[in-house]
Amino acid sequence: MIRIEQLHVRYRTERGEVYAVRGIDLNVKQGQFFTLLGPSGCGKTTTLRSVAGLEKPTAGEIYVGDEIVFSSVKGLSVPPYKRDIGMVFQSYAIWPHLNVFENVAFPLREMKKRVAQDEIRSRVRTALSLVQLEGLEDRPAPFLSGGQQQRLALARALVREPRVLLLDEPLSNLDAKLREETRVELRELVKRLGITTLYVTHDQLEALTMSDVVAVMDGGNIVQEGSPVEIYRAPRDRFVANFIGLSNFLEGRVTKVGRLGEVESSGATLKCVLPDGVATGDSVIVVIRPEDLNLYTGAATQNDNILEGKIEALIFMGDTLECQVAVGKQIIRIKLHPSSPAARGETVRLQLPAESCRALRA
Amino acid sequence: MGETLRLHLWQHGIFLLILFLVLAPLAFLILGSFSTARLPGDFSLDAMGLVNYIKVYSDPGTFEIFSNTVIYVAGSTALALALAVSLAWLVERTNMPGKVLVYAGVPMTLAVPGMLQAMAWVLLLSPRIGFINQLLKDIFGPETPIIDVYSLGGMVFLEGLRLVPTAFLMLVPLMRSMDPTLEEAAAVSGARPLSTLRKVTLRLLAPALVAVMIYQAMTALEVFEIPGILGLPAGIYVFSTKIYAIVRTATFMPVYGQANALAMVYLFIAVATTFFYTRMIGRAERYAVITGKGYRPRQLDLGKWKIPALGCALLFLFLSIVLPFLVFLYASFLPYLQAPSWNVLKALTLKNYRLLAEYGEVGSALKNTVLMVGATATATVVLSFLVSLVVIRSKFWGRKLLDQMAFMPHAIPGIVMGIAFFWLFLKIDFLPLYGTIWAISIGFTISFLAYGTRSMNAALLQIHKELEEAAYVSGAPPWRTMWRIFVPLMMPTLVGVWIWVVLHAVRIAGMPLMLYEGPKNQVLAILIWNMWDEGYVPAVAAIGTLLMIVLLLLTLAVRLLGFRRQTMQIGGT
Ligand SMILES: Nc1ncnc2c1ncn2[C@@H]1O[C@H](COP(=O)(O)OP(=O)(O)OP(=O)(O)O)[C@@H](O)[C@H]1O
Ligand SMILES: [Mg+2]
Repeated sequence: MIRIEQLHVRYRTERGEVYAVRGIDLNVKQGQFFTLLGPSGCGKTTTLRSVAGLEKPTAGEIYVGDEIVFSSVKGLSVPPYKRDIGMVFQSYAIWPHLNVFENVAFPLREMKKRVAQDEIRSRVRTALSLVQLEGLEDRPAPFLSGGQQQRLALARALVREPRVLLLDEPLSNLDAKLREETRVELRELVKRLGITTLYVTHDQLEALTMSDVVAVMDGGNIVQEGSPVEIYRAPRDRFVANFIGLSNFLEGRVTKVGRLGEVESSGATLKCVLPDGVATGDSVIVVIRPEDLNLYTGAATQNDNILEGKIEALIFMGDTLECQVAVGKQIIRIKLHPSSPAARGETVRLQLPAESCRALRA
Repeated sequence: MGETLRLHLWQHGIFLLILFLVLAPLAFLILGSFSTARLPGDFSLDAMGLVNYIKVYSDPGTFEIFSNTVIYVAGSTALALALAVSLAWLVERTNMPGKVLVYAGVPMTLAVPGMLQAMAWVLLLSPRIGFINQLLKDIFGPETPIIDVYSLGGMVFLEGLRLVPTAFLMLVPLMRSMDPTLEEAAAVSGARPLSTLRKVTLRLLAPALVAVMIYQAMTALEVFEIPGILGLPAGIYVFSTKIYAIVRTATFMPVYGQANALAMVYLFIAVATTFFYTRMIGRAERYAVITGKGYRPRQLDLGKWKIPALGCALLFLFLSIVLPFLVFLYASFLPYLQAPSWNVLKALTLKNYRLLAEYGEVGSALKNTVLMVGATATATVVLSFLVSLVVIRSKFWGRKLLDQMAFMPHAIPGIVMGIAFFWLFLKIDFLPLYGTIWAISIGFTISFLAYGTRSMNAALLQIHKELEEAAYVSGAPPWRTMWRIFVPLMMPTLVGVWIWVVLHAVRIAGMPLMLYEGPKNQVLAILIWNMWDEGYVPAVAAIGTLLMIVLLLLTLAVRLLGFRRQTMQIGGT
């Protein structure tokens, strides 16, 4: 539904050139909820705006539906107002001089084919009820709360029933509680309508809970693309592992290859999942999530993949207790139940389940 | 694609239009300065040369003009600054009572046209007819020394008064936002209030004061009406009036080339000061003693000086608005000009007003003025809006240049602009513009473009870019977006600029005088000028009274509508 091929965007500024997007390829299928996730300044917004036509890429091709909307080779660039899209901006961009009704009616009034008054009224009402803003039609737009503005922006983006919906951090201006509720609502709404959605966020939780597919971006490139589970369970490199969730990193050297190979690290031998094509003697980084580790104060029930260490710090975080264990020179973080009896200075043993340890090429 | 192309055409169209409107008159002005032909617009090569320059700059009279101009500009700027600093300091940093009167009253003085104010003071202080002088003679006998307003001193005094409101409006926010701890530090170090004022407050304000000073000096340099009314009759010339005299005095065959040559130096000074000013502004911002925090500055207790201070402030308002208005009001009911007395009060008449209604030229001048002012204000608003849209909101290659072009006419004195357009319209005679009100309209529009685009740029920058982009992705092409998003969001600025232009176009006489041909393009300002010249003083008073009332109401409207930013930039003439 949205296809991007070899997209490059460079900005020319007074202080030289900014190479914001460096050759992105992606393909969003009909009805998919596709998220671009990455740290600030990695080029997410630029990519999204290129799809909308608000930014003119330096090179590449963009297709929306079956239609080609941008091609540097063909010298083609369909202006935004002729693309079949709806968009929600980070600031919501609610026009302050129009009331709620007129904000939503705006796209209908700008349609090529004139829409009759009655139809405008009924379609605006439908759009407003989708986002639960019925009854606020006459309210001047500046008199809406943040959450209401966000929903109004969504209604305005949906009212033309576009085939593609573009969302740029639409939840970032909401407070934490509201953001959580809206995440679920928003995904359900677009899924119900079957609209293909391209979503931009730097919030990993949003990306993981809402998306069908997540593309993690860094420095203008897509570094990994996959389902939320894949991205979380099998990060392809250190950046992704670090950016999404908490990870422990153990440096080591491969001593035995195989699907479950062996890596020597911190004086111990760890069984772990090796990437394809590594050879004995290669240096690797073993990644393990804090919630996958087991901590024993007495004897361990298993003898495999054991590291010994001392508890350095305990941080109470409400639903979990983060425990930092010094193993050799490294600190390993573990998530424990808050009522766990661990104490500072105690010598403990950590057990790393082999299936949860993933070695990445260093 | 077609729409993108159309957008490009539009942008280039505006770019070329502004380029032409700004550069063409200047080109003709410069060419004309080398032309020795007796007829303007004749640039045949055999009649070109440096003769004009030699003639003008070897004339000892020119040196006198130069020194007059320096005295007049320096004197009025110094006076204005001293008054404005005192007033701003009194309202912002002391506990003087009645501040509201000053806050409200000082900007209102902008509503009194410079020409009318000068005339009012002539009625008070001219050697022969001046009411005050007559009073002095009545009391002390005919031999007493009198105050002659037809002098450099008179010009300095009046222009000094006229420059106060703009300087005041520029200074008040500075005084208000100055960090009071800096002064408090001086106070706890043992400095007395007055030496704190001198050693800390004024020092901190110095960069900003210099910026205000240059701005005011430019205004004084440019103003035509005050030296025109007060200097011309006594043969005291400054640059602006000399240029006018060369072209417009009927006794000689006009020597346009010489006027142009004189205008060159004038143009040069103006452009150089603007350059200096813009650099100065940058520096003033870098000093950054002024912070944006909203603290309440310490207020000096004036003690027993409270009432005298208020008295001085009110005296300024009295001299600037009340007195000129009263003089005009009084004179407008006179059968013939005479000083106030009991006998006169009985003879007051409405005859002058009746005369105005019957006098044909008033009607046509009024019609011309309304058309000219309306066209100017509308054209300025539309053109500035389009220029600013391109400058702020497009990626058009020439947007920076366009912005500078729109700002440049600000540096060019009205009288120079007038003479430049005079040449232009004579030359492009395939357009029947010469001698019409539209010629005046075009000249004014270019002059006001700088103000218009400054205001619109600022307003456009405040409109979040996503409000515009949301319209595009909602399917609105650029011109629909302009119409449905920008125009309504900018409405306060559009109206504000419109009123500002009306206020100025209606009262400036300099440029219209250069483009004036006869009754066909006579506007109110010229009519007043001519009637004054011919001595119809009570009739002038009647028109002036009405004009002042209208302008006061308009100024009031601007304030009430809350265009504070615009009003703060109103320059005085
Ligand atoms: N108009 C512009 N001119 C110059 N550089 C720009 C422009 N817009 C973006 N950039 C630069 O391009 C890079 C990518 O910006 P982009 O807005 O796409 O980041 P982002 O991933 O959306 O970040 P964020 O999460 O902070 O919104 C950044 O380095 C940014 O500074
Ligand atoms: Mg962004």
